[in-house]
Amino acid sequence: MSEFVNINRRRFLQSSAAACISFALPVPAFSRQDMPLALTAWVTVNPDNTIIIQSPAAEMGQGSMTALPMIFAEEFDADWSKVQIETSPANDAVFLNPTPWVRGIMLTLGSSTVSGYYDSLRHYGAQARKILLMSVASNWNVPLSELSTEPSVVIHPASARSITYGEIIPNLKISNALPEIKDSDLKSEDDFRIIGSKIPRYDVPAKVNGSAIYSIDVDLPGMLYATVLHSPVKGGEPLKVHNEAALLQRPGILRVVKLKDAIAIVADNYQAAYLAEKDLKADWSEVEKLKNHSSEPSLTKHLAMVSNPELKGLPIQEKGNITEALSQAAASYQSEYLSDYFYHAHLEPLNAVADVKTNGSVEVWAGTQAPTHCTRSVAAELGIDVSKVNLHRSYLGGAFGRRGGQDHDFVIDAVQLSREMQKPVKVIWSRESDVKCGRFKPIKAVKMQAVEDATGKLIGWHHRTASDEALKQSDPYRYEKAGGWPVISSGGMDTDYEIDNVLAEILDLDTGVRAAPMRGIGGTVNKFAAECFLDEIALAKKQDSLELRLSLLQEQTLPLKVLNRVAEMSGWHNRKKGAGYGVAFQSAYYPTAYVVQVTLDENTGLIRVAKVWVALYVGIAIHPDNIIAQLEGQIIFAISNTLKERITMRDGVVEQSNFHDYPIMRMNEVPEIEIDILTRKNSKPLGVGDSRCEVIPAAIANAFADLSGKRLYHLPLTPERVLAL
Amino acid sequence: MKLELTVNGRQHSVDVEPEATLLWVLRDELKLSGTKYGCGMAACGACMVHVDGKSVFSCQLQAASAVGKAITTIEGLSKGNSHPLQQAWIEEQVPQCGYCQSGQIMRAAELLATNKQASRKEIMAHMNTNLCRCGTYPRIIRAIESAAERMRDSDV
Repeated sequence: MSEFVNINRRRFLQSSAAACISFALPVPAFSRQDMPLALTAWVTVNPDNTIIIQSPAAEMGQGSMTALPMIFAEEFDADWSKVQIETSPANDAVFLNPTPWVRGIMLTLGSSTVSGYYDSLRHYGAQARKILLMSVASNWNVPLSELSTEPSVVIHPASARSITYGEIIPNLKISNALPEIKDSDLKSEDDFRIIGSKIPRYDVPAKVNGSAIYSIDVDLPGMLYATVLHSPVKGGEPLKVHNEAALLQRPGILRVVKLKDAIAIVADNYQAAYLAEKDLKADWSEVEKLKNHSSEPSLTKHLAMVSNPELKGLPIQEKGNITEALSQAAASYQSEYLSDYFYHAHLEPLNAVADVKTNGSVEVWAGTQAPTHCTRSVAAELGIDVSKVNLHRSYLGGAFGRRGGQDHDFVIDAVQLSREMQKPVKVIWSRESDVKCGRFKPIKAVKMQAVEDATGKLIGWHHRTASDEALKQSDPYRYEKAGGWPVISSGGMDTDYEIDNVLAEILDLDTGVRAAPMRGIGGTVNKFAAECFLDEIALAKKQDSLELRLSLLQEQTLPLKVLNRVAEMSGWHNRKKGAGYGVAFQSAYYPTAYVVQVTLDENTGLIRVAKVWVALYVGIAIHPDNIIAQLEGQIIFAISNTLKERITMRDGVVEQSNFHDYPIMRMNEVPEIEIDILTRKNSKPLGVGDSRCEVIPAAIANAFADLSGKRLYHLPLTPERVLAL
Repeated sequence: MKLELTVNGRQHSVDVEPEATLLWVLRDELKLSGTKYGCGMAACGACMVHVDGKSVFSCQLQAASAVGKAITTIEGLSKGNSHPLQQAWIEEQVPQCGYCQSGQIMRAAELLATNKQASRKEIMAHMNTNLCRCGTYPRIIRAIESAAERMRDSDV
């Protein structure tokens, strides 16, 4: 208890890697007047009172680089103005995302960061505070119970003494074991000073003057530059480069390197490589499975699968007896829905810098959602121990799921080339390469069936989706840990509507096309089907579509709350029929309801979203202004997907290449957005980063149906499809 | 070829290929990495800088054609984030991933340098050149409006 321990942070991190949170061996005390001290793996306090908190999340725009340290700082009782934030090292043992489905690794995706780390960061914050309190109690010889804290100050009211956190450090007494923390050691919500307040994001100042560093900005002495073009189809290999000699004649071009499934052009400046790639003439091996894979015929096959009752899928949700219910129908409904491929379109093209050293270690600079997957895949590529991989985590210029995979193709490119060239290499995929070799949200077909009894009550709900499962290839580790569950493609298939007989089943495909999770995952398509279908039923029953939803949610407090709230915000009950209003409800798990209003240019077929209202329940709001920012962002992202974006394939090859043929939303298309965040005292935070946009496509399609009397069944809702109605 | 470029008020000599675009000269030769590559075809605006006060897609402009002109990048817009737009960007908490924001700010700065009275419609039309995948558009609009107001006030 009273032993002095002097540890520097690196040592502590090493020790904590082995035994999660435990202290390094004690070493003799010496004057440590100006030395910072890592109280735990999470926090360092400097004698000048500055506090450095480790943030384990990837900062890709969603703001959890600020939100997570806010949680820690709250329980640590830090003076926020003294807090500095560092992105933590890649170390699962200490910094894992505790969300169960993340399966014990560091991962930033699926709206799981703030919600996943909330309890543990409160715990670690309280623990670090208690270390300081115990040291002061010992030094002042007063009972621990007589001490309390104000921001960054320990106070002893009985003797009117106080000491700042920084002042504690030179004489810090620290024990071998970390103090235990009980729930009673945690603050009451009423005492929160940081959580729930309008704190500026830590990353913002550097992002308004160009000083924020993304991996694409890393510059090393003697570094070479490369562009990498992967095989047009997954599994293809480079066979022959026809114009290698000519390319090598160009100034700056050093090598044309065939990688396993890619061709790299290495140069002494990036533009030379970039321009050479445009002229690259190469043959690739054919991949039998994808030779004839084109979007439209493939969608037809998907549709045939969901329409074939002989094919049984994997049950995602099962309630009552759907077969019996279907046979007893007094009235029945059915519809089919389709969706094309979507591209993440992160604005920073995929890139990484690697420096493979002759001593068998490697330095890597990359923006990744899964830092330990990254270090493991680099180690495996080089045949070295993962401890020899030093990953420098940078800001991510957008990710949306694309940088969360297990294999880290764009990083391995740089590693392979650095090994080959024996120099540091920066790889930047050209935008064309990023699109052509993208890992997309896969195409889907959905068939919906519903039946009602003689009284008009819905008694059966049958949802069938055919899709590739992205997780199977993007993260086999998590896919296997999940027992082969199609986590991504089945998103949004569960229904919360109170219907006695429900079957949601997935028909799992493996078309061979590259795929990755993307913001909103399967939910944007599954809810497009389910929530459009419900509107079709409401129309047939001549019932108000919002009223039908309310009647099917009966006693579910939060779903009813968000629906009623969004109705109130949008003036739903006073709207003019046919004015282009659509409603959609997401789920009881993520209580979110939207109303959107659309307009239509009948000559061009262009749908425009004029206004969006959303009410959502978030539990406790950790960083309210950032929740609003995330909502604004995903609403615009999802509208963009719904109205503008479309990847198509012909004979396995992607037909688009850049923003001219894969347009994304611009400023003149932005709707008015009104957001209401519902919270509840003493509750946990629910995710918001990408999880609240699932029903936007459905709300838009429902609004379009209200306006035009016609229904669109195929995402995206392009002008061509509108005009073809 | 050897070029003399004036960037953010300083003279620089570079030796580059004739086809070298300003984007890659700024980033890789002058190590000014605030200007970003996004598309290489004037479709996203992440590469926007000012040449003699006009916003240009630096991915499209040959560096040689900027000789003798005043090039300003995000790094040279102000000292210490003091430009009214940068201040407004911080107040409105505009950036998310941040990758497009240098270009957005440079584009907005061109507008406000000539038209501090810009209406919302004019702002949206002017800013339509620049993509933001994170969807920060509503905050960009608010930030430009508030910076314009601040700039009008300081003129009085």
